[in-house]
Amino acid sequence: MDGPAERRSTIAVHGARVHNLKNVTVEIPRDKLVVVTGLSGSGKSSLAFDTIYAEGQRRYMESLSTYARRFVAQVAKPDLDFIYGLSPVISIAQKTIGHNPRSTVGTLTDIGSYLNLLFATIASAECPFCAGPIPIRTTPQLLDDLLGFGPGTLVELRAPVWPIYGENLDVLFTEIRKKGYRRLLIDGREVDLSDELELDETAIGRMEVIIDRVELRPGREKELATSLRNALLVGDPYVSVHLPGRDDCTWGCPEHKLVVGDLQPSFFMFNEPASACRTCLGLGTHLQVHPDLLVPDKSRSINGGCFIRDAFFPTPDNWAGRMAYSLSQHYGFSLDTPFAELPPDIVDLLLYGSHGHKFTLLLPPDANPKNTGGWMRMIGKPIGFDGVARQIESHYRHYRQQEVAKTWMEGWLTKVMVEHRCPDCQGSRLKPSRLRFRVQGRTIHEIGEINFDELQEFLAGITIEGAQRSAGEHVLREIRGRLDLLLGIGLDYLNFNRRSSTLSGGESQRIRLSTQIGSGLMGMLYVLDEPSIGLHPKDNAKMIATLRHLRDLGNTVIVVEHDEDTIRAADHLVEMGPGPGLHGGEVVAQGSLADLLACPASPTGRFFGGRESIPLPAKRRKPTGKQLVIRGARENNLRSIDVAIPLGQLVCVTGASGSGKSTLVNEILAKRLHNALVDSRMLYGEHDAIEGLEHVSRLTNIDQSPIGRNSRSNPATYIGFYDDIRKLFAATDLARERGYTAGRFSFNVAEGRCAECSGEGNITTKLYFMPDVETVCESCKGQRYNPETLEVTYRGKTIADVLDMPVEEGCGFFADQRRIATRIDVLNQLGLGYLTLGQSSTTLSGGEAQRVKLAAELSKLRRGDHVLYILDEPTTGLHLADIARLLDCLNRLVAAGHTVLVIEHHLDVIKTADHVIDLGPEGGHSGGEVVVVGTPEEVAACERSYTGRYLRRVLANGAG
Amino acid sequence: MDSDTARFQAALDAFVERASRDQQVLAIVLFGSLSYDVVWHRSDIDLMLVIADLPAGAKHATRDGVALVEDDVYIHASLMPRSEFKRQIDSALRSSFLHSMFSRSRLVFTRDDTLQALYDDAQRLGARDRQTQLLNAGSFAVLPLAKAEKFLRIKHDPLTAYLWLTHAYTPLAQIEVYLAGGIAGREVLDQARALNPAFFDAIYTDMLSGGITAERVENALQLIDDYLTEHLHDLYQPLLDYLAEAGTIRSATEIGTWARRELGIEGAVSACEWLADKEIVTLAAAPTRLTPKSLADVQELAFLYLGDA
Repeated sequence: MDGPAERRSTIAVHGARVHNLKNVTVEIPRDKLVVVTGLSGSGKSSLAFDTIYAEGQRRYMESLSTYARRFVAQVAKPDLDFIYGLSPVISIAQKTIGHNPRSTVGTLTDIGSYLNLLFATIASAECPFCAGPIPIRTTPQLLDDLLGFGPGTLVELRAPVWPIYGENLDVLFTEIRKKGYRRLLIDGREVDLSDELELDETAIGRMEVIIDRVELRPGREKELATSLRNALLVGDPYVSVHLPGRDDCTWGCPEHKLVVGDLQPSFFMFNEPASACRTCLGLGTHLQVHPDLLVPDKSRSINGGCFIRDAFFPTPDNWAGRMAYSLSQHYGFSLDTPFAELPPDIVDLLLYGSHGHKFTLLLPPDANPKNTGGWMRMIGKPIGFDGVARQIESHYRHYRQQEVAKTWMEGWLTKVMVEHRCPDCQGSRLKPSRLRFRVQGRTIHEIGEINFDELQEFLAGITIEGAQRSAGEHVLREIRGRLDLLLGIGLDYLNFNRRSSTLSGGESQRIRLSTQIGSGLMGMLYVLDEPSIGLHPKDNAKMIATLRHLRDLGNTVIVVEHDEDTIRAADHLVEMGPGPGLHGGEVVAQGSLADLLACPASPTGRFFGGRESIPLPAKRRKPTGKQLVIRGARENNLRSIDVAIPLGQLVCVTGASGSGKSTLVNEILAKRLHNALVDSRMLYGEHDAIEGLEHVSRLTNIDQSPIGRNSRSNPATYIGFYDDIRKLFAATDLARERGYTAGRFSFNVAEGRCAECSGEGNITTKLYFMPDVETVCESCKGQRYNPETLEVTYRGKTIADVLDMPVEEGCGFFADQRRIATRIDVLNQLGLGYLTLGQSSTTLSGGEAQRVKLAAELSKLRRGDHVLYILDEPTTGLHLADIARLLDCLNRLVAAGHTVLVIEHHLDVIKTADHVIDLGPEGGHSGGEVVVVGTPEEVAACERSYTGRYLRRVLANGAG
Repeated sequence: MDSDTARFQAALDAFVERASRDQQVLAIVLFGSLSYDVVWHRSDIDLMLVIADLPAGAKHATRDGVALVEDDVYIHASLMPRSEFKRQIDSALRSSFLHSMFSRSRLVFTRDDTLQALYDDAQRLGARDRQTQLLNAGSFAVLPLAKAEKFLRIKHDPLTAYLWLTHAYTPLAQIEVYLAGGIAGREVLDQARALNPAFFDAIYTDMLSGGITAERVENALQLIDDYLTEHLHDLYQPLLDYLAEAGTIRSATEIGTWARRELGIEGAVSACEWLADKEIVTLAAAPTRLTPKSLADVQELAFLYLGDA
């Protein structure tokens, strides 16, 4: 029935039963842009990722040797009959790329490596002493130059060195000795490092290590080459040549005789230990103690424990106590004064020490008189004080100097430290010598700071002369080509120095997409997860063009997506559904958009055809008069803006990608509120003040992260009604007779759960180079409890039956138990009736997890509280039908008197808001301003606002 | 010149003549008996041959030792490329083992004047190196003393006490030689006895000749203690300067790191313990924790030096 592979034009999936898929059979056309859509939980990802991608990946893995397979995570065979027509498959999911501080946009896109190569090829070098231009030569060229001085010439090779930041010269001198050199020229004076040196470290201008003196003779080239290599190793990468007794040396810089030798791309890599800044080891940041973290509660006194205990905890009988008492007596302050009321000079003394000043060490009057030991000998003697903060910083430096970046001690110290720009490299991550090389007048760090849109212009202006021209232009072409791809998907506001960990999931997905296009491969199958997320409608068009480009290269592109524009752009649509979870798992419709529109069962067809829609609110809520006002917000690209957030409304923050929305809401507002309401150690983004904090009693951030970390979390445990259910079971006659408490009905407690699977319900077997195999526990048959526990029933159901009960059934079953019923009802009303009460959190989609969290919030609404709910792009993964439900939840929260603040691009959400704050107008350096605020209608009337322009169309449709 | 020496010298001359024809051999350095001591018929000739460097990346095929023979005289030669030879001379702390080896050697052949200059320079002991070596020897000298004291005074076992004492002889002898401005060699005890016979006879040879008794060991311990106390500032000044500059307590970890990074030596904490015992520095404690999850503080050994105040 299936023809030869070369004639195959579809990917045929037969009998897919992964998760909720109901024996799905579907044919997906190859070399097309295919969108898989459907409600949240309908089985889109199960089809695209867990079936098609997983099977493609598994087959690739099978082609590897068993030896190689031991080193990679294995993919289990998806539950399906077969798939024909698979190509090599690459998944580009929405994942934030790790937290490795060494990963940047430059390293992620590989363009960083090309930039390194560009610098090694065409950079110009400057003399570190006079900043004049100096030549860059290869080692063979340098050898030729040296031999040019003629046989019999005595040449002295020298390498310049510089003091090590934050260290005295002894450390440098010991390092030089260890490398095998002893003679040094300090401002022209020759010294022997084996001697005692009297030096004024502040007055030293120039230091050069004498590497070797070699007499040029035929046949001795190898020695000369070795010495030259050694000189370059120490001079990193400078070498100077001098002819003892002669002043006719023409070599490099006319005054300092320096040249650069053997420049390699690694010379500019901050992830190369030899090139990384010695202070921050290539991270660009350095930790310093933050006084707010060290003294979290300034209303406490020193005696009252204002310092965190780990750092400074004075008692009459310990070192800290004697020191604190002695300081207070000498400097005249009370240890019982609240820290906030101590004068600034005393705060400085406590944190940063006595700066060499000595005072008498005293014994506190309440010290134990039986104390003896070495301490007592110090009493009455003059002593200095390092300061609590300085002491911690010196410990931190110590561990850094050992170059063991991840010691536990560092972990402990970092609790009270925050990142600052590295004082040595000023954030460039590189040794200072690396910043003396320029392309078109800019260092590699400066180029990494330029936003992509401007960088393109800058690169276009580079002219290369001479021998490097052909190689340089080749490298430049590579960089420009890759940069074009990044610009093509709307990432014009990023730059190469940007840390990967600060990218949103959408941004990192788009970067991966651009690298895939850059690879130029054809015949591949790409599976993407909602690439429109995080994109302003104006940038979405670019994303769609990129997807088409990927297809046009000769690839099949399968996109799981809800975005209307992407769906309209698709060559082929597959809609999963019709409902979520148990009610889904089937192909509702497939084909063109017209096919979907014509299908009455298709929710997408209903919304796109206008038969259903998210309505405009009949009227918008009036301001309550209370508001939060952020003054002078200037973190990242925010331009010292003032923003008012009206309370008691549904407020949307909108704007182009990178315009500063997340910075304003998450970095400033949320963290400032967390600081005020929960933990004063939380550090927040820069701003002058927030007015109106007193109106908010709680802050809740509702995202799409899982509701628990392991499979034991479920909606019942998360919302909290599981405890009540367990009490019901414990109150049954049999349970009371046997003495079972509520604890017995928890699968976390050993006495009640199945001993074989520890309450997991299944058993995982590890099979080395084959995927782990999960089987249903033979002992409990997946019921998670032991037989004795399962003998207890409540209205004929065991505890396992209850956990397996759909929410919609639970509403009726527990109808007379008010505490339980109201909370199950909320879940049902939010459209989660199909979930089981004990459904493992690991099987919930992001949208489902978000709604479970909202249900938890709705079920604990309290009068008198004012909660600020913050949601960052809550529509991720949601179909229009899901969004309608989400909006219903959000409006309930607002109706209960709370404030909902949403960062959103989705126009159907924005149009229903009471108040919109539009930032921009563009991303990055062209953003950070408030473009317009007001009702959606007012925003739509603003010409300058991109959001306004798109909103106009949606409002017109809504009105129509 | 006795017949053995003449025979060995002739063998050396013959070998040097032969080896100098090899353009790869840049210099020959003579060590051992023929260089500075007495030769007998079972001696051999110890040589270091400095050879031309090899191209970058090429692993040099030198061996630690090549057994050669010339006129029936064994020659033990080690090969060292020029750059490595230079590195060894310049990186070696003056008076370290290698340096002391060079100091009693002879350069018997070179075709490279820069090597001659380098070799001549290796005979000098710099003041900074001298001070570092004194601190190093001073730290190792005090290590076995406490053990010797315990076996003598607590366990009444003078023989084991003496055994521990013998561990201190070499660093003590090094101290004597450095203080006299010399370079400590392999036979440093002989060098030191020549410089300070009264002290070294009392702590060392008298016990060998007159027998090991509790009184003699007790006397030796006292003499050593007096000797170290007398030279306290010569030995430990860099350490005291470091602590005085800090002005407050420094933990054992901090002191160890300082000595390693700035002086390239280990063992400075033992010196601190001895100085604390002498009440020159004050024993203190710095709070720390044993594991990342530990809640209880423990005290790390620390020291405080208040200078002359």
